[in-house]
Order: sequence, then C-alpha cells, then structure tokens
Amino acid sequence: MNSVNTLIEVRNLRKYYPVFGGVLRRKVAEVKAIDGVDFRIFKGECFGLVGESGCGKTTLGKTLIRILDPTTGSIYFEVPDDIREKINELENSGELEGSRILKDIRKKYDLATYKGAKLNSIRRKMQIVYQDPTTSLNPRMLVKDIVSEPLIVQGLAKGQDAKKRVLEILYKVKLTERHLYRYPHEFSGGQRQRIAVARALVTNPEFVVLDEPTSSVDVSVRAQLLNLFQDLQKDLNLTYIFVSHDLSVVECIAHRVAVMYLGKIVELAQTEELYKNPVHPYSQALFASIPIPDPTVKKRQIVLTGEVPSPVNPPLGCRFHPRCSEATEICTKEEPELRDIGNGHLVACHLVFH
Amino acid sequence: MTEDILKIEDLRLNFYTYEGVVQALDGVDLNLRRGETLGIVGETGCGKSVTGLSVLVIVPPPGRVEGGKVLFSPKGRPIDLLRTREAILRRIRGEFVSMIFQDPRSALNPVYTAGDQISEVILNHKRKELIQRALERMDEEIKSGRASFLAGYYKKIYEKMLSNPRAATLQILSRIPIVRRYKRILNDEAKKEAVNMLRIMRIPDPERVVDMYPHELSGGMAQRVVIAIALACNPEILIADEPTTNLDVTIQLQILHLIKELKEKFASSVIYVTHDMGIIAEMCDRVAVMYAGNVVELGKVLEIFKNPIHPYTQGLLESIPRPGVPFISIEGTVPSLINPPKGCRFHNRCRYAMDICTKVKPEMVEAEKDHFVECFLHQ
Repeated sequence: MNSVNTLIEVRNLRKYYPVFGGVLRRKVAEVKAIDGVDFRIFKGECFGLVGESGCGKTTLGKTLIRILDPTTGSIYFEVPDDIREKINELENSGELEGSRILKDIRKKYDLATYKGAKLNSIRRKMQIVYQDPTTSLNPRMLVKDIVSEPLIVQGLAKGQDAKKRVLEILYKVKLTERHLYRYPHEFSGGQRQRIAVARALVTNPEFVVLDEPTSSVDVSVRAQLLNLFQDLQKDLNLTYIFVSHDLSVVECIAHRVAVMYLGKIVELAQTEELYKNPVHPYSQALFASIPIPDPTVKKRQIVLTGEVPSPVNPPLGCRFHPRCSEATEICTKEEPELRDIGNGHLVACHLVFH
Repeated sequence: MTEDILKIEDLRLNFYTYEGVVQALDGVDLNLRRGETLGIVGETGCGKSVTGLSVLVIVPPPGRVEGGKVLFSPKGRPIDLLRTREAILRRIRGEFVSMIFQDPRSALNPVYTAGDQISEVILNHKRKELIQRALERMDEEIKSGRASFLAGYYKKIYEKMLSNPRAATLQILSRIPIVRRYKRILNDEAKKEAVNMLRIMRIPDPERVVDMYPHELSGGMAQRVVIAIALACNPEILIADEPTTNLDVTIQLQILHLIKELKEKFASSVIYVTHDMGIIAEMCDRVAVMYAGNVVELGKVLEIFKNPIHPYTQGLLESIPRPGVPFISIEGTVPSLINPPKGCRFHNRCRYAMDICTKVKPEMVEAEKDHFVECFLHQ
C-alpha cells in the first residue's frame, strides 16, 4: 500500500460518554464507546466497518467527522507524506522539544484539535448519510431547501447558483427537477435516502460517512442504492466509510473491512481476505453466523454464547475472552495489540502469535 | 404426503383508512403441513405479517377480514377459525396456535415482569394441571406438618376450583382482599413453570430473570421471553413474525437454533415470516413468496432457489448481494394497495409482462410437482 494515498489517519482515538448518577448528578462511570482505535483510510477506497450493535461503529463514524468530539487521540486529515514521517518520529522520541513541534503540527493537521471557523470550513470536505432518512430529513423543508442548506451554511453559493448546483446533484442521484418543490413525506424510502445522499454530496466532499444507509429499505431498493453509491464513488472520486451490520452488503461494496468489538478493532484486512480467511475468533463467529441464501450449502456454524458485555466495564484482557471458545490464561490478563500477519491483515488476538 | 394442519383459502382482508380501502390481502391460498416449517417471504407491506395475524384472528382495526377460510385441523375435522366464537378462539390462541411477535420491546408489557407474562399464558391454559400440582404440594406439607394453619381452608378452595371453577363462592372469595391470598400457591406453581420455560430458552440464571421487567432485558433476552410465552403451552402451530429482525447476527443465529430445536422437541409446525432469503434457506422446508397481498409462488425451498418461476421471485433472488457481481434490483416500487394495478399486481414491474397480465388476475397453477405459481407465463 502506498502511503501517499492516505486520506485519514486515526491514532489512539477514544470516545468516552460520561454516565451521571447519584443525587448530585455527578459522573459515576464512563461508557467506553471507542477505546483506542488506530487505522488509516486510503484515498478513493470504501472502508467497511462491521460489528454488532453497541460496539461503537456509529460513534466512530461520527467522531471521524467531528460530529462528536473525541475524548483523546488524533485524526489526521490529508497530511502530506513528509509531515507524517515527522509525526511518527516525534511521537516515538518523547523529547520535550519534539512534543512542542508535535503540538504545532497537530494544530495544523489534527482534526481533533480544530475549533470554530476552521472546523466549519473543513466540514465541507466531510459529510454523512444517516441510517433512517425519515428522521434525518426535516419534514417541514422542501427538497430544494434541504439540499441547498449546506451550500448556504458554508457560504458556497446563494440563490440561482445554489439552485443550479442542487439540480446538478439531484440529477446525479437520479432525481429530477420535478422533485425540487416537494416535501420528504411525498417520497418513497429509497428516494428519501437519495435526497439525503444529495444533501451530503452538494458541497463536493472528499470523504463521506455512510451510516447504515441501506438498513431501512427493502431488498429490491437496497440494490439500487448500493449501485448509486458505487457509481458516485467512481464519478466524484469519493472516499467512503461504510458502517453496517449487514455483512453481505459490506462484502460487496467495501475494499477493506474492519471488525469492531466493544470499542476496539479486532481485525482489519482486505475484504476478500477477511471473508475467506477470518483469523480472530470473533470474526470467525460473526461471518459464520450470516445466513447463506442457498439451501444446498450446509456450512459450519459457530454459535456464540452470551451477549456483548457492557462497555462501561469491559472485561479485562482481551475483551472477547468471556465468549471465546479458545480463550487461554493470557487472554484474561493482557490486552492483545493489533498486529500485522502479512499483506496488511491486522489482527488483535493472542492465539495467532502463540 | 403428510396432511395439512392449517389451510388458508382465498383469504381477503382490507384496511379501511382515511385515504381509502387498502386491499392488503387479495385471495391468499396457503397450506401448512404437520411438522414442517413454512417460510413466508416478501417486501415490506406485501401482507406477510397480516397473514400471520389473521390465522390467530387478531387483525387490528381498521383491518377487517372480508372473506375466505382459515381451516385449522388439530385432529380430524377442520374448524374455520374465522367463523369460530371468541370464547373458543381464546382457548385456541396460545394453546394450539401461538405467535412470536417482531419487536420484543413492544410485544412485552413494560409494567409486568417477564415471569408474570409467561405465567399468564400458563394460568389460562394449564389451570387444571396447576391446581392439581398445588393440591399435591399442600398434601405433602400437611403430612410433614410444615403447613400453615390455613392449609385446610386453602385445600377446600382448591378442591372447589378443580370441581367447579365458576362457583359463586370462588368468584366472591377471589375479590376479597387478604382472603384472596389463597391464589398465591397457584401463582407460585405458575412461576415455577415460567422458570422452567426460561431454562429451556437457555437464559442464564432464570430464577433472577423471571423477576425482571422488560426494560432490564437485552434484545436477545427479551426475544427469548417472547418465544417462551409463545411456546409455554406447546402449541401445534407457531407463527414466527420476523423474530430476529432487530437482533444482531450472532444473537439471530442463537434464536434460529433455538426455534429449530424447540420445533423438534414440541413437534410443532412453524410459519416463519421474514424478508431475509438467507434465513429462509436455512430454516424452512417450503416457502411462499408474497407480493402485494398475493402468494405468487409456493414450493419446496430447494426447488424455489434452484428454479424460481415467477419473475418476482427471480428478482428477489437476484437482488441478494453477491461479491464481484453488480447489484441487480427490481425496477420500480411496491404499488399502493389502495389502487392496486389491475390484473397481475406485479405487471408494471415485470420484465415479461404481456397484454393479458394487465387485465386478468392469474390463477394459482401447479407448474411442477408441488411447486405452485401464479403467473401467465405458465398457464
């Protein structure tokens, strides 16, 4: 993989939600929604993010584009190569002088430190499509206003220019001029999701978070939407992060996939490699539990016992060990690191290295 | 060939809304054989769930059954559930035919514990058994001398409950505070049964879960409680209405295995309603494909996956995402059922539509052995 193409680099990202309790409403605990995540997203790829509900997929997607503020960690967006190397150097050196330079670099490139106008302007480059278009579109706004709102907020276009741009983007998502002056309730589920996509793409973003965009539509419409996503990616040179719990959809659309469990990435690899040869016991169980739409195939099924533990008190050591059938002693004590086993296939499991 | 335990004939059902009459079911024909799992598959709004609801005759207003028959034959002579008195239906629901509902959060009553809701079914349908068991327990207690001073009085009431459950004295006693505590023994027995049911559902620590309220349960657990309610009286027919739609794949697999296992154990027949072709392939013996209130194709799962005849079934199977293949979708959307298309309801999305399709509604024909289809291409 060529590092020149890195669009986003995430380092040790954490997002904790406070839990308030007691008479004084003090913070009594933290929900560790994302607990130390490192990965890179390359330019022009579709990065799949899968896992069970509550594992932090959506939180991660939203934190990446700063809808949510990370607790700690850095999100480097479009960092030139030489500076990336410098960051690596500085982070490892740990000198006082180095940390000062690092601070300056982070101020310039780290999304996590952005504030105010600077944050607003960078938002033009990153957009999100939400899960359910019935709730993400304002029912009292016309399609024209919904789609042109980002343009006005960002100060990119006004009046006739905005309308021209809106039309242009509506044609791209296969809607027409007729739809401009209608309200969201007049559309079917698939069309509504197209409006949401148009709204996301109107500012010409480079990076789009697709947060379960197909989970609220029927199978026949799902295929239409997925085709649209693929066409748009080619046309507009977009980078996607595709969050979903529908593993078969991710298999078809993503180039690389990360499997999350309780706020951590447990495995990350090229889609084909991961689906054919999952290494982490959790990914193995997860992929084995997809029902195959072919009655002639009888496959090995791994039935996981129990449910995902609470992210307030994640288990010590490997987070998966209470449900893992192959857990050994070391799994209960030490947290495994995400390590490369060749070909950019990263796994966080003790068993692989023993 | 095994006999049919349930036969639905030309079932018609309308919803009377402000916008107009929604013709939700337009002559549904189905049969469920003893011991099989029949899948019903289709898109949102095609009438899958409503078909399930009308078997139990619990279609919510403004829905109304307009015609047809639902013939249930537990032993020998079939009875038409649509023309049965409510009192008898109440006995059939839960005991002979029961249902697992889609969303466990809304299927459970938030102000009762899981145990209360399971024992409600048991108290209603297995009352005699429970009373007998309670009497046995009291006898034992009296013998061993552990019984309270009221035991004699309780025993008399329970004997009365067994011989004449509608006795006026019982009606009065059950309304007097303090005196009505005699019911506790019965409720205790029902709760024991509920714990047992939860254990069968493989819920860890069932003694604790039985006293929990629905909001304390996770999605998977809540769904198990719903299944426990449905299976509490070993029904002959179990209707599972998308029981795993809101669950994660790993939990979904647990539930699917559980339903399969319990079906074998209690020798029930299952109607499995879903929109997931993968689940159909895994769970069912036969499958009915529904579109806009009609069953368009019915046959063995293997047969339908290998050789789908109806263009809609073909489209459904093609729209399953496969890696390396571009996504294929069925053009257009499901039509509004207030003004359904004339003739075959699929004709405006069908790639093979002919002139006749727009005018006449096709009949169900047997295209191959045990493989029925409703399409003019095969008539």
